[in-house]
Amino acid sequence: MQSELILQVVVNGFLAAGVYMLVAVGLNMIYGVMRVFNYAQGELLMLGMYAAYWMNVTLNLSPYVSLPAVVPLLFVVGLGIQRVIVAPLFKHRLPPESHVLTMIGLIFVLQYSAMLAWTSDYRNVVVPIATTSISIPPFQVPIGRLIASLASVSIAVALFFFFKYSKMGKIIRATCQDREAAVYMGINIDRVEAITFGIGAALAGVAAGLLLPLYYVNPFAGFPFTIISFIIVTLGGLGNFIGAIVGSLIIGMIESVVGFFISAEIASAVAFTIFVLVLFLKPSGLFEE
Amino acid sequence: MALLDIQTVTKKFGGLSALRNVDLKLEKEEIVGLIGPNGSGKTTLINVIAGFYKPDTGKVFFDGHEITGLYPHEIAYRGIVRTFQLTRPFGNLSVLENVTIGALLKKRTVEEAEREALEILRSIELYEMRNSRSKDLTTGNRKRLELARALAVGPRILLLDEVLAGLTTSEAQSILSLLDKLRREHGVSFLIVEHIVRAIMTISDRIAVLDAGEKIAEGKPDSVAADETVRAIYLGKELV
Amino acid sequence: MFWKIPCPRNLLIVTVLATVVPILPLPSYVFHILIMLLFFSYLSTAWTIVSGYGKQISLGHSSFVGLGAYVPTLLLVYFGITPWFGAAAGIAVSLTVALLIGFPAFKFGLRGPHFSFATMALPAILESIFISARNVTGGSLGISIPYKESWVYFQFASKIPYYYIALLMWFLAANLAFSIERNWFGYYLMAIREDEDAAGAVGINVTRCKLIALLLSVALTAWGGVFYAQYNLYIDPATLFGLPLSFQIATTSTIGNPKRWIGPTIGALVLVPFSEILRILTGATFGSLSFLFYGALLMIVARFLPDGLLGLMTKRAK
Repeated sequence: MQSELILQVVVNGFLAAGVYMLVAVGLNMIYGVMRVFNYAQGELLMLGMYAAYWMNVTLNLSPYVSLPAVVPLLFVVGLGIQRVIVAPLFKHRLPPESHVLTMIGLIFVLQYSAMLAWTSDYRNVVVPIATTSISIPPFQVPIGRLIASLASVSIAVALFFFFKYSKMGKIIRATCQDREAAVYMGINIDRVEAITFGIGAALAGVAAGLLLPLYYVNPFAGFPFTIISFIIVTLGGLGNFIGAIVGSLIIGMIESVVGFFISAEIASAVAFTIFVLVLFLKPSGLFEE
Repeated sequence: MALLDIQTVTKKFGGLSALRNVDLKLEKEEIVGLIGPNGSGKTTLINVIAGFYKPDTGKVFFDGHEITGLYPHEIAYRGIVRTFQLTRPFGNLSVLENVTIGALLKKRTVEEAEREALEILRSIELYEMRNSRSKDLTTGNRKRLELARALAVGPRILLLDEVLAGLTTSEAQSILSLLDKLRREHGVSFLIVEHIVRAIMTISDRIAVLDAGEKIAEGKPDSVAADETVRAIYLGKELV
Repeated sequence: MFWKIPCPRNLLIVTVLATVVPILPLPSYVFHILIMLLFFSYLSTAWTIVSGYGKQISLGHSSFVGLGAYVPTLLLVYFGITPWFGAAAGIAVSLTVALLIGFPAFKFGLRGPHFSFATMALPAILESIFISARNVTGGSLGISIPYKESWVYFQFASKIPYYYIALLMWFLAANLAFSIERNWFGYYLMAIREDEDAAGAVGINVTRCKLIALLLSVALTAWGGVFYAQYNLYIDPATLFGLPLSFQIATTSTIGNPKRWIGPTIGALVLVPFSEILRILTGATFGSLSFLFYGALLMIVARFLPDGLLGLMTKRAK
């Protein structure tokens, strides 16, 4: 009996990791290419969730079905943010403090614009299949989380191949590793940055569609995901793709195990403490790129 | 007893040996020139002396006391001050503010430090530029500012890293005479890393030559200039 | 060591004028706005000592407001100790926590965004802890300060005494910032801001200076928490330990000019009356829409006005 319980907790940990993975990977990509911390990643997730929500309410589309609309929408939003807000920071060579402050300002603007538009009421979409659990003995697996995790893993794998074999993927990797060299090689950095931000936002869009059946959305629902993603990305190493995946697993496990045996709040306290320890002892993360 | 005693210092970065068993002494009121091709370890040696790097082996003694591994600010406090090869002024601050900050190490109040700074600026001919923003200065003036700021700290030993690069002949000349004056009137000793070999030959009491992290020659300027190995690494260029 | 006489003339004039204001028959909510204005100016000035002058941008200062509010309050509720003494404990705890985080952070050379990250973790950890320990702290419901209505317990029936205390707090903090700007410590912080390595090369003990700035800032901030608890008479973890408060403090100072003693005050002048009035007019939920304004202003200042609104004002004056 005990071991079944523990296994269930472990499985939950994996499922939680799957959920965080997408947002964390998106954040990582953006940092890798642009050396900018997208503090507003969670807000992009939030916007995606609202988009899926409204498509559900007006067009009666399940969030899974509306993904092909939400994801490109968020890609475009990401492009827009990069062009209008982030790129000028680099073009005018503003100091790093300006980057931090701009992104924080963006968080406020996005959160409170959402509040203005849609009030702070909690909204959710009921997708019956997502909340039922299937029994894969000896575990109970909520289908919604299973779908989210499987989708995350598939996308992670797809991204892995994208980075390794596709032309754009290689260009992005090159820019990550050595920005100057990329410029000298004739790579259009502006385009690469815009596309990277777009993909990062698109990943948040995918996460949005997968998470709406599982979570309520309100203007502030995205922020916790930002925090968790940052912890994951710091653990795994900034810019390190595999690191983000491993980091997600670690955090998912902590959340599940500590959350079960002690409490959810202590789980976050533990996660934060590990985060701070890693920052002190190995700021470049557990893995190096 | 030598004022500065560098004993068998080795510094590796990964697999690369930047310094290999380097010995060097600096006597009181002496000017020692340090030359050698690019990448020979000259700046690394300065970094080690000034506390920016900790050597893997070897020790550094200042006035009989060991200073190996101390923090840069502690070494500066004891009287060894360095300049940077690529000047590092406090960019958004004025020339006067830069030098005042240097002077604040030994002076209690800002007023006293400022007075000291103004005097130094006058002697180094930067007085007119005292309110200019330091990041707007020309290279030549930046080098002078770097030197002024180091002077303000009140050093007994100055480690100068290519302080003459980018200066016109007359500018370089005035710096050299200033260095000489500092040695004679204030008893400052110098370890000068320089690329402009001609200049260094005239002012130094002794020259040491580094190549690939090793000291390959040392002695009076004339004998070093005549040394075969030294000539070889400069590939036949005229040294003097 | 830090105090300089005379203090800036403007500060003195404004303070003297402000002392006379309570003579006017102003409604209570006006005093509330003034108190909030002084309070946030105070908090942001305290923040700017380490984050503006020192450039160690802390996004976690709400931790210390929270600790300054909770520790004396817990001591009052459980042991009957007056907040005047409890404040000492609150400040001591805050300083200890700050040292625990700050010392390794500075020692290990955590700079820039990495440092800001680490500071964001602290309020979150504390919030979790204070919510979890619900038996002691009342969890997310918070604590109402027992009403004693006596100056012995740092409580007053009318807003006026609070006003004067806030005025004094602001005056002292602004004066401190002003002195720092002009003495060796301020100069050293400027050097550290520009180039830490070069600063070390001229003998500046960078870690020690950063720590001094941090401790000064934290002590002042913690006292701010004490004041808040006694003025508001209700504290809860989300408000006090939340990241929004940290962002608010950072934003207020940045918008004004984080590098000058008067900058945070100007930032507060712009932001606080606006948000308080908005809250009074539209109620709590929409009152927080002022954050939308904050965010937009922050983005504009970060992008176009590196010297904040103060820089804009002085440029116009020239």
